[in-house]
Amino acid sequence: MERFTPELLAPAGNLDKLKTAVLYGADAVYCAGQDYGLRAAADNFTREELAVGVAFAHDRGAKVYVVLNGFLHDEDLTELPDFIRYLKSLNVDAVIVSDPGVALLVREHGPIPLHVSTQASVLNLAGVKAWQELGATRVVLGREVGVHDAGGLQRLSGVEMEMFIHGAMCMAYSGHCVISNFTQGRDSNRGGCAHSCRFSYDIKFDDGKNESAFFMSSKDLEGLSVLPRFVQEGIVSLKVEGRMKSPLYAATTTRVYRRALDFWKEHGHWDNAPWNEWQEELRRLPHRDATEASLVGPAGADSIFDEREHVDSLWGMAGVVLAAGPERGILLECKQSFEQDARLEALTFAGDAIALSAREMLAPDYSALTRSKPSSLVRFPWTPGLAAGQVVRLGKSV
Amino acid sequence: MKGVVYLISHEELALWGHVDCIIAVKDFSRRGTLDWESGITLAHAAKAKGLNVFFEWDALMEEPRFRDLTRKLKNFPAVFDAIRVRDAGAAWWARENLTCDIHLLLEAGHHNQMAIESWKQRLGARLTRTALSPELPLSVIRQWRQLLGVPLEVMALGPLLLFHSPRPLLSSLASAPEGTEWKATGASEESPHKGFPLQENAHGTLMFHPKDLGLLERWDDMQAAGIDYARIDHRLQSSVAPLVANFTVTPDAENREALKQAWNTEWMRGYWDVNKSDVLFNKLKNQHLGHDERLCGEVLEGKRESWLAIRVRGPGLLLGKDVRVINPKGEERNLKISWLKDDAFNAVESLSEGQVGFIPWSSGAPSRSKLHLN
Repeated sequence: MERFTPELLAPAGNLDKLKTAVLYGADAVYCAGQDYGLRAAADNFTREELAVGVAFAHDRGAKVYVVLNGFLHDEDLTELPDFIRYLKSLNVDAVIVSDPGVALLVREHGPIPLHVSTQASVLNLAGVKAWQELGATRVVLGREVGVHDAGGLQRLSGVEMEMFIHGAMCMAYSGHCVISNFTQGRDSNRGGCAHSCRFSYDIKFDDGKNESAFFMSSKDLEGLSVLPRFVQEGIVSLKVEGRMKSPLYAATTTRVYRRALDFWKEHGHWDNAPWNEWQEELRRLPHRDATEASLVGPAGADSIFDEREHVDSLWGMAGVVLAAGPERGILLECKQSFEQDARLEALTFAGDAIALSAREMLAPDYSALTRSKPSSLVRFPWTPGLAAGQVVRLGKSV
Repeated sequence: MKGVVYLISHEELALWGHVDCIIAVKDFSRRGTLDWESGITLAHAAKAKGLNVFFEWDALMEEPRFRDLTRKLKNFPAVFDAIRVRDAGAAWWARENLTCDIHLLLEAGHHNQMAIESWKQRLGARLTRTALSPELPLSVIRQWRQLLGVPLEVMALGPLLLFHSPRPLLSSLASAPEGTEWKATGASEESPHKGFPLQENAHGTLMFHPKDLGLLERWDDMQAAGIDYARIDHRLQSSVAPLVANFTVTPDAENREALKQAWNTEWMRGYWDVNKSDVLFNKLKNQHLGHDERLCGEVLEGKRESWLAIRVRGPGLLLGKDVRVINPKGEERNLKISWLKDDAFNAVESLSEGQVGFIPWSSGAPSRSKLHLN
């Protein structure tokens, strides 16, 4: 009998990131159409791109969940039935909703398996049952719920539980923050969040004390060390946040958590698991420190990230391999400039990273090149082990 | 239209005559100030005066706390005419375990009629009131009142909650133990708004808008729209309670102005007239870079007078085709695919979806420009 291993669910902010996540081993991805989600500024997917993305994922055994998790107004619903029918025709594996009205429409015009978004802040068994009545087969729990409690909710309800394991976090109960709405005219629950919680605030206490602090900014969730608990509790799906983040983020997080879950799948225990190596890989990404938040116990004051910017990372994004083969070599789409002494590493889909020599780079038409530019193509000699879709990272000078 | 107020003390009870009363106890209410026993005692006193009394359960609770506290609620005091719930789980639990009426506090989301309809279907006749989101304009509420058939409540005056976190965010700054109650005001570096009232208690940290929602000038409109109940939350300024009481009995201009003068926070109308909080969305994206069925590629890079590197999208690209190049500024140019090369720079006759290739150079076609079939 195959050992239970949670699903690894990765963010797909656009078609390229969907492909990256799937190629690096995500069991499922979540993405949005042009409307109805919570990331209005993300590229998101046109209908045509959704069709391509679903086919790409399904061909490789991965599932696609489409987010419809905005708190929608009446006028937003006019074209939603048609979009739901389109998603049904694509055989998407589920839609993620937070609004009971949208849930009714999905039931009527799908049906499509219904997942409840973390935006709905489901925190207790009764909440799970309330959504079960509306047809939910899975609940993405509020980030305030611990892993042990989540396991209990799953066992008692029979509804699948999905939990965030990694990424940026709302400090507020999700769906209960309207700072953007009333201070900047941007509806945070329809995709316009201005991230007001990341600002610095001058605080005047009633006792006269003054403080200046980023007191509403949360450290990023890093649930790697909690992975054994997720497995033990049988949590069905582990979600990585970050549809707005780079392909390097999508590749690295998917690769690390894939490796960790595969370790469990292969061994059935965590003895000698390379936790430090996995953690180091994750922390090479830009991040706002790291917290387990409420996964083990209620998040306390130590989960506040009292700084303006994220922690500087050791690696940046060099680019994505567009094509690779003995004849064409390696064609890289560059995301930032680098010179011939740059330290480049390709993240393979399985196995160790492979170094690339920037001294050997050429222009795409094989002419000489000494420095790459952002949004340019660069060609390298063929290196076995590299493949289209792999992400290449750039070491930062220390 | 009837007024709804929070009942916070026996002293104030003497003021209230023509209102419904909410009892907010600490364990169940985010801003509750009463303990369980004093809340029940106060409810009985209000009931003896002939007032409707409601129990507020607007705190959000994770399972262990939910389980603990609902044990207490199973013996729900008959003195309460209804329970007011915010959490979907609390609503479900109240339906299954209590017999009283249920008021839904739908102030977070539920901005479409279908959302409320879903609750109406599930709670049936037990649902006797819904408190609506302050993000809904009057025109929408008017329409809903006719269609929904559920009595509606809005906040007519009171602090506008912007943010609620379960985490203790102020005590950490004050270097005090968690659980200590704090009040403060905040000013954001990025916003012209100053003086956001802040509060930390056992339910976490709350932040309010510097101005209060104040719709009393629109009282007649509210009434005409069929709104059944108007809530006035005076808990942060209890000294104005007599003026609130006067207004709920006689909601005229004189009483309103007296209340406005005494209220120590500025009023605003919020989204009462119109909610346009999605109009900026289009500006978050480049509208010139839309996709359509004729999209056949996107420009990755160009080498002046030589080539454009492209990634093929959609149905593919054939040698000899005429395409339209649209750049991020929206400028358009026609281009003939007079030659076509693959990613190894070999001449080919076609490229398919996802492939990278090269086509003749065109001016004004930087990276991210789109190619559309003519």
